[in-house]
Amino acid sequence: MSASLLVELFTEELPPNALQRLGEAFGDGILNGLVKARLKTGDPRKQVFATPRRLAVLIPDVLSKAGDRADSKRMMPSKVAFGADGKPSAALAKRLEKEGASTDLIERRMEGDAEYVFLNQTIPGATLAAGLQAALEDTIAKLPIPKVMCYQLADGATTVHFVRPVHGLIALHGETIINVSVLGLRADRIAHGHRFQGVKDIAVAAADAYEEALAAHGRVIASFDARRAEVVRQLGDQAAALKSSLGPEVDWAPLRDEVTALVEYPTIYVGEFGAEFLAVPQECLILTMRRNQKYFPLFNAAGGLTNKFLIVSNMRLADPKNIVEGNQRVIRPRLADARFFFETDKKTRLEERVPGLANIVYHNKLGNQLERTERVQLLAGSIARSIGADTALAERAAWLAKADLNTNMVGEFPELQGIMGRYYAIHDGEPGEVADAIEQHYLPRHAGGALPAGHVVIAVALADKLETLAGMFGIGQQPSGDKDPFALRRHALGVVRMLVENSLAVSLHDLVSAAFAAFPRGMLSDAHADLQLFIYERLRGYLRDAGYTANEVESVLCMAPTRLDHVPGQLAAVRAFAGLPEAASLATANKRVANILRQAEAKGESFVNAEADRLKEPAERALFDALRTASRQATVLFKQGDFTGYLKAFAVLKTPVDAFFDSVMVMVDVPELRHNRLALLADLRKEMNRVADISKLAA
Amino acid sequence: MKLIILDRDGVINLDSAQFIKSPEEWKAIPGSLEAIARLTQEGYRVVIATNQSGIGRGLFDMATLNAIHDKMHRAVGVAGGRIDAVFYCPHAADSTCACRKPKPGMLEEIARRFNLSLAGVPTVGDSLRDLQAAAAVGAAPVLVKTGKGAKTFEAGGLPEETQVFDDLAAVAGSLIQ
Repeated sequence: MSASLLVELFTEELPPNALQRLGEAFGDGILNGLVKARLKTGDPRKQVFATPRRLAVLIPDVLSKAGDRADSKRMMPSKVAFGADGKPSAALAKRLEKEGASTDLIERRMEGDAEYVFLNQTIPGATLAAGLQAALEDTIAKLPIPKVMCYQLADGATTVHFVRPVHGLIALHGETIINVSVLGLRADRIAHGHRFQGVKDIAVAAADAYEEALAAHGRVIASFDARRAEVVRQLGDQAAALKSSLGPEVDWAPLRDEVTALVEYPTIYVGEFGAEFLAVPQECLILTMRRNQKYFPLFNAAGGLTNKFLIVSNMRLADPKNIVEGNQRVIRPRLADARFFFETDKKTRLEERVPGLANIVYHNKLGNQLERTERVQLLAGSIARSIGADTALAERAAWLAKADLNTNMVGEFPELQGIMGRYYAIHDGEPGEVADAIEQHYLPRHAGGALPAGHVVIAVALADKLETLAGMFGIGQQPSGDKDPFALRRHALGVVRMLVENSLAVSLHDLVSAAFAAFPRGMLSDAHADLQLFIYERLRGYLRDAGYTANEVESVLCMAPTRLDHVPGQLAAVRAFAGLPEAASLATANKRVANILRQAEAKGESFVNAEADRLKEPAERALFDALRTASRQATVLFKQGDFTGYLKAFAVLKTPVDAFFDSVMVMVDVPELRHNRLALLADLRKEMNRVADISKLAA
Repeated sequence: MKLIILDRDGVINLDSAQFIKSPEEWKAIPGSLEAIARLTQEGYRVVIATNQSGIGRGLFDMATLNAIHDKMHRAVGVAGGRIDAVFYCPHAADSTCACRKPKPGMLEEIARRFNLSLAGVPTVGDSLRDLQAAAAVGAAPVLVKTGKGAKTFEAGGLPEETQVFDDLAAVAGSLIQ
């Protein structure tokens, strides 16, 4: 018989951060167990339910008993199984006895080169009770539990290890209870409603009626997704009624998921705090509301914080006065703390806090934060000069950039580093660029995150990241595998993006040199080349993500370009060139030339500048002339930065190059001719590949 | 080997009548670090000869002077240059040492250490005594108008054949062409 199967574990409140993961793992485990026992027919579909107090899964089309299965098992070679007289040997008899089978079930069959004896048996299918019992035990053993609890059962002796104490087990196949037991519980059909507002014991009539029964009588929305949708709907309704918004979804999505894992029957109320707290920087208020209190702050049309917030409650009451007042009472001291920190911090200027950075260890091999600040300041000044930013402002900003680490507010809310620095810098009367740089030098915060804006800010942000990279590489802390504790990949990608996306006319090589030079002599080992390779690796990934093919990227990066701002233009040129009808042939020719030159060099041939009066064949003279004309034209374009025009100028070489390879032998015996021809090819490669190595485009 | 000798205060960093007593007070004159970098990259050995009577007067100690020079080395390094050596005279103005400029002791020591003659070696300073010391050993005195240089220029009485430039960047520009 095929019917839906429902399995529910009813528990005490589960850890909200792990809830979704636990629910999925529970559902997958049961489903896989059933599929393995061949108790599940049709698509492996399932519906997972996860609330703070239950993990459940509903699986349609589950059999009450799996079908019998014919099995043919190889036992031993016929040579061993039967004696010379054709009678079963002792070995076979012993083996059959072990399997509980008799000789009428065996078959002799060829497999490969030899004949074997097979045992043909019908294996009876598992019952659902047996299959589910195994699946449950296996699933529970393998659940990704962040921290296991242990507790004793009612007998006072048996200890159970699980994520939280379990109080109920439902296993319903259609309308039938499946007799399984785990964690000291026997399966039943009784579901338990909302802790305060639902019917305590709900007899679930059939597996398919579970969700409906809980919703109707239990005041529980069992599905995580449905509950989250309900939270979002009510948040939206309330915000709209107050003509406010919740801010960008990406900011409150994690909180939305967290509260969904905390309530079974979400209801949203509006709270309010004293408008006087709005004088505190709104980032502090938003952070404390979202993180400490799990409230949703509301914003006005201009994006400014209002003094209203939304509370997600598990209780739906006609008169929620007590809930709202209770929540308003607990937020007040939090806000008062934030205000106190802000007012106290403002009494000390940021620059007075800088010497105190000497007390914060940055890294035991790289000194304290003050020493780091000095290095970043040196670098920021130098970078500012090379990108034409105001040196004094960049140095000032770099000097103050880490000072807010010593403030009360950042001590309490580390996420506000930089943000608070900006507020305090403005309060101190620092120039606007300095304040912006203090906040934005941490950017980009993640791979695709916003970049800092303005040259002063960029100088400080580049200096901060390059100092980190040089320091960590210099003491051998390169990331390996998945381990990247200092987020060096993110920093390197940030450097790449700032240079490329802002078209900064600086050499990566010089930047990396400067970063290493900022450290005291002897502190770092020389990891300049390693760091540059590491940055190229990030650049490669960045360009691949931007849609360039591996060959296109390789053709440009194998030239180790020092000016990253030129790379997009170079890639566009390569792409335009690759679109030309002559491209494939020229790329192949380039590859061939590269091979010839490499082999010649390996043999110790030397060749410089092709000379016109040593050209003998018409085809080599034609190539020589065509190359000279094309490269003269191309050089002009190259100097103007027109890389596309530069590469396209060489398209005319297809015919002479093809003719050259058709009719001219390079490695002839006469040394002068050979050297001159090699030199001609070397010139071709040198002239053509100033933007990218075209040979890498060859298929 | 190409050698150039520089004074420190008023040539590389902003001078102060109150002395440069800590790394924080050491601030490069705009363009000077790049000038040293250009000289280094042109193959010049850059050597500093500086009077630091602040030590003799007890205004700061050797550890501080080393810290100041460490900052200077790193600032020059970050700009892409290198300072090969720093020679300094720690004695107070009233002592009878042989090294305090305008006496030529420090420059003679440089000649001995680098094992070459200072004839024609550009020796850059912002005060008269820098130039006098240079003239005494036959080096080529160069005055920059940064630091006290402008006043030195107005006061006149410079050694013969003294070249005058606006700042170290201009000196580097004329040497490198």
